[in-house]
Amino acid sequence: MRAAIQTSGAALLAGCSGPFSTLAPGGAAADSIASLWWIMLAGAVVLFALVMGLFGLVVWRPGWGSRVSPARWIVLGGLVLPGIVLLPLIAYALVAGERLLPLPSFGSAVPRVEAEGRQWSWTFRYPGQGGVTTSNVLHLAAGTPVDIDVTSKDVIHAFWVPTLAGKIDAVPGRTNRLRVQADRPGQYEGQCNEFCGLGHATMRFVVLVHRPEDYAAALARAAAAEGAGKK
Amino acid sequence: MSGSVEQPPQPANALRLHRQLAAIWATGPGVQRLAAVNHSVLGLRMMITSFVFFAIGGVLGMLTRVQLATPNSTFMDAGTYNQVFTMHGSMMLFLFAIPMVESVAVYLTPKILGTRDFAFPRLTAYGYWCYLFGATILTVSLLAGVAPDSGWFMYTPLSSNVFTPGINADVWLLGVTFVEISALSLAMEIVVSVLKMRAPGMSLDRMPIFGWYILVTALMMIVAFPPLILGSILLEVERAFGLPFFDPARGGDPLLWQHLFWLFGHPDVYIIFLPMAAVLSTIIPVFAGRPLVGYRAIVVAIVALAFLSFGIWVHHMFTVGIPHLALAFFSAGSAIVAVPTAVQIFAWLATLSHGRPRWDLPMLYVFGFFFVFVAGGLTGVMLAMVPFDWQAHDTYFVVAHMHYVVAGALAFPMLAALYYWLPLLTGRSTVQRLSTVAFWLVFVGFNMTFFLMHLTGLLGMPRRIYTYTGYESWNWLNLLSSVGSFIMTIGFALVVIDLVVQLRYGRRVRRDPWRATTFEWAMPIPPQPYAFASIPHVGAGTDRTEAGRIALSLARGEGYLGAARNGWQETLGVHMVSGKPDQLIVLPQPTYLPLWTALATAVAVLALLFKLYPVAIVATVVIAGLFVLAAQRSGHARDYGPLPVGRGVSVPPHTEVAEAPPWLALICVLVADGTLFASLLFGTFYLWIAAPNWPGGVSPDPSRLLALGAVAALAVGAVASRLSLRALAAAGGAQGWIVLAMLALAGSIAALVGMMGGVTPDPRTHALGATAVALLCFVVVHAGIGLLFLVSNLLRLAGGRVSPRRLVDFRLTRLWLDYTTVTGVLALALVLALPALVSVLGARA
Amino acid sequence: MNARGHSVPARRLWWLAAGFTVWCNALVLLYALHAIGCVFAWPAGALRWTLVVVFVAHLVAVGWLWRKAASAERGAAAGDTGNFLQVVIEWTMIAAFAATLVTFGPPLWLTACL
Repeated sequence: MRAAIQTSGAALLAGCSGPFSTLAPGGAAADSIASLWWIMLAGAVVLFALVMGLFGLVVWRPGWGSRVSPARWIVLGGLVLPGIVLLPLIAYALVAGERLLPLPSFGSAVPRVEAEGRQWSWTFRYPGQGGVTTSNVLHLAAGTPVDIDVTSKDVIHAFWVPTLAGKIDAVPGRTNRLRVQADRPGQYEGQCNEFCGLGHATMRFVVLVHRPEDYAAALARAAAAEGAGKK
Repeated sequence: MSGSVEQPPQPANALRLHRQLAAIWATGPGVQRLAAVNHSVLGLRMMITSFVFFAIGGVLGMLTRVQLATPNSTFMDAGTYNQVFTMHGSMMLFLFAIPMVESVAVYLTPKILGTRDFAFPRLTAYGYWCYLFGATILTVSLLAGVAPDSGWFMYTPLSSNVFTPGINADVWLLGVTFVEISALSLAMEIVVSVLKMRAPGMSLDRMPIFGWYILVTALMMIVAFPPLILGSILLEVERAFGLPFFDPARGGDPLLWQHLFWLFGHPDVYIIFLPMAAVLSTIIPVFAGRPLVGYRAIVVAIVALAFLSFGIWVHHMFTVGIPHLALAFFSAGSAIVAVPTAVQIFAWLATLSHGRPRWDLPMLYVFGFFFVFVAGGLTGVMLAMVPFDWQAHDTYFVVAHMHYVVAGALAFPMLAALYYWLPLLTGRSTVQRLSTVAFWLVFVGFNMTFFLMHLTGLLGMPRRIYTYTGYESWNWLNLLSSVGSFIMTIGFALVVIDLVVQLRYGRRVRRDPWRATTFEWAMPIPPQPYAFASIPHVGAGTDRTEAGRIALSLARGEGYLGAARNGWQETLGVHMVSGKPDQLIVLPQPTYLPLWTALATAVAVLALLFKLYPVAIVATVVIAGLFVLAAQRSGHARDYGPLPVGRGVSVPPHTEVAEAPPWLALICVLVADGTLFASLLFGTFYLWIAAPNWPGGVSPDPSRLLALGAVAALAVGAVASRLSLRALAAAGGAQGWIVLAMLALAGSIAALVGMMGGVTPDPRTHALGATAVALLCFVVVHAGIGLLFLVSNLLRLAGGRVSPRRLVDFRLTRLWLDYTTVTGVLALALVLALPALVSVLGARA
Repeated sequence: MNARGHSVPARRLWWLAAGFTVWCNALVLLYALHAIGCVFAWPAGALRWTLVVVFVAHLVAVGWLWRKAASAERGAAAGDTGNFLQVVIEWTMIAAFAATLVTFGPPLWLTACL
């Protein structure tokens, strides 16, 4: 039991890491969103403490705050406080969201990968790499932004690599674009994030990030190996 | 002046009055209980029923926690787990939360507003039976192992007949719609009752704040449910008859379902929250020992919340691929919803600050509410931020948030309400120690379960997965959440034990144990079926008068209607704004009619479920007949003119006034129906602009001639109905006009059916044809209901139930036919415009 | 005492909904126009200006309602109930105006169709 407590304590301390953790970002998008989270968390803790503190004071110290007129209570707490918190937050989030969009770049075109979900697997096609395909393994080059065009063959799925970026739904009949960038080579984990039936829990995929100079070769090798495996 | 103590006390006739009124209002013993229409009886039944479903839903929730406590659990397989979590959500939302808040409204509202019952007691009963039967169908499906399994929001195409071929999704669509009929009918009744049936003198500014909350909540229900009802009908039609609305391959769009669902789904959160806020705004002043601070600010906040909550449904759809600019509207809207909520929270804090708070059990639950709701509100603002939602959407962070704002913000005020009003229900006080322990178990268990889920979600755990492998670093969090959920369940079990103990051993309490000022305490407890032996008058100081003080005077019959007359179940109708009495409302006696109608409705639903369509048609005819029959029994067979109602006031019975409850009820029906129609128009335009695979191969070619004929016939019907009203008012013969109107409606139905037959493209092959059919069907159904109105008019005319002074029936018919004509013109115009709409699609990017 | 607020007709209650109905209308129109503009590939500038015009028009509409509500009869003649409704209606207008400003203003600066 004691060991269990120690382990759980360690787990909570290690806390933010994990293969699917949004708080251990490995790419620009996830990084930006994690920052937003930490800012909001700090604000939320302060506001929570404030409201609960006020509740404690008015209940356990009768008369506390009765010199503040009722109208002022409501205006300060109900209008001013949310106003000064929400307006900057909305502005910040809109700007942050804008930076994550797959905007057309002016220089070199952003490479694309087509991701297709189906019950219950993912197929990735690489138009810029001769249209080769891989299943359940997405190959990316480190440090390069990539646009993932996500769609579905059957029901709605969602493409999500928590350590790299937010998610986007794979909707049949539509194509949604998500910009992803991995900073460092390595292995990342992705999963389906929209309930899609019996195999939803196991509809995972792996993201292999290569050094840019190795990317083409590694992808070709993987695609060929898969093709051979099928035969 | 305060209360109703004006006349000198009369000889103790309280007991005699009680006997007389009890004989008139009581529900019979034994099997006659099934004929109950009384709000106290039905409110209590509904409350108990909803708690039964809360228990079942809770057990399902426990099962999910058992499954997820450890990785690679073999407790349930994926199929079972999908049914369990889908039913957990569906039950908690549709079979527990909404009926529970409605039951509180049904039980308490008339008492708090100082009236004897709701405006349409038979509708209350019908609503209850629909709820019970619909909920039973869903529960039985669970036992039979064919429960819905596509998640409680039933996203298409997963819930379509291709990917869920079994009966499972049909159970959800039909069962939930059945339950929603109940919610809608109760909502209309609440709106009419709050507006028209209050204690005389209770102007809107003197109405207890509870009334405002309940009024706005009911109005929200009237507008929120129709989109989901429409969506459910369309999806069921797609599943059963193959008309595509959501299938992308045939010109439908799965996202249309999401829009319709969340147009309901988001306001639903506030529909659940507002009655709980009503409870808090009622309880907190009692324990603060002073009237509520910021009454006006709270009314403004309620109105703002009601509207804002409808304008933010897309925040459930931030990841479906809508452009950022459009998302930003909904993001900003979702953030500022926090403002009216904050106004209420600080009004409550100010009330406590300016009062002399006394600590009692309900306040403990108020503390629990503050803790949980503030936390949930803060995470709500976080999720409103688009980028953060891109990460957190559909993870356990959302599960945590949702349970904080829906489960916690419902459970704690609900228990506060339970302990506050239990003395009213049972006449006994609580056993303190047990209740306190129960609170802390629920509180600690709740937070342990759901607080940790925030972190689980941030560590990337998606909702609705039935298992995980163990390396994701979710193990300990899940185990602790599961342990917490068991602690919470023990807490709830203690609450139940506490209730039993209280019923058995609680100290008997006298009236008004909390020294409250609202009228539900101005009656003997537990309440009698007639609620008030006489109806109180509201004066300037009533909101500061302890209710217990006027109870005796009311019991002696010193208020309004303090005597029995004709064996009528009498109560007063007042002017909506000023609260001046303007009519004597005579309510119907207990009857089995609601039960039979609900049974016929259940047969229709089951027939649809098992695809026995002829049976469904027969059942529908029976339902229509029963409704017409119910109408025959309403009202009076002669004119009475003004009747004395006590305290020197005389008012005419409701059958002889313009602003009668049925008139307002029809306006509510039309608002709900108009919302459904608007959703249908929205759906058509949405598919036009957004669905893949538009246009289909064949272009539509609606018959202009038939459309024109249908519109002309509808117009003739509307005019004839007006003329029938005029003839009746002038005491002339109205039959001829009614028959003409019936013929005209029949003609329009024939023309519309003809149009449906010629719809191109074939409605089974493309959404273009399917939407045209849906629009035409809408008009046919309304013309058909118009026919029922006219049949009822003919029968009532023959039975002498209408007269130049009793015109309400004919005015209802006129309004319905006007509405049918207007929506008919719009629907047909859209059908005729479809070819043009399709042709401009060529210019798309 | 029975006459207090008697002069307030029931239809005055609709005014409680007026301000936020304009807000809802703005939401529906902006959302629909934006979708149509993106589907039919309107030039980004034209789309944005259309939205701005719609936004401003609704802002003006709520502002007008606000003024109209504020100028309604007040004082002893209106009675307690009349004054209550007056204040509440006026504040719903103010709330609707602020909501319109905050909900629909900032988004119009964002990229149009991504």
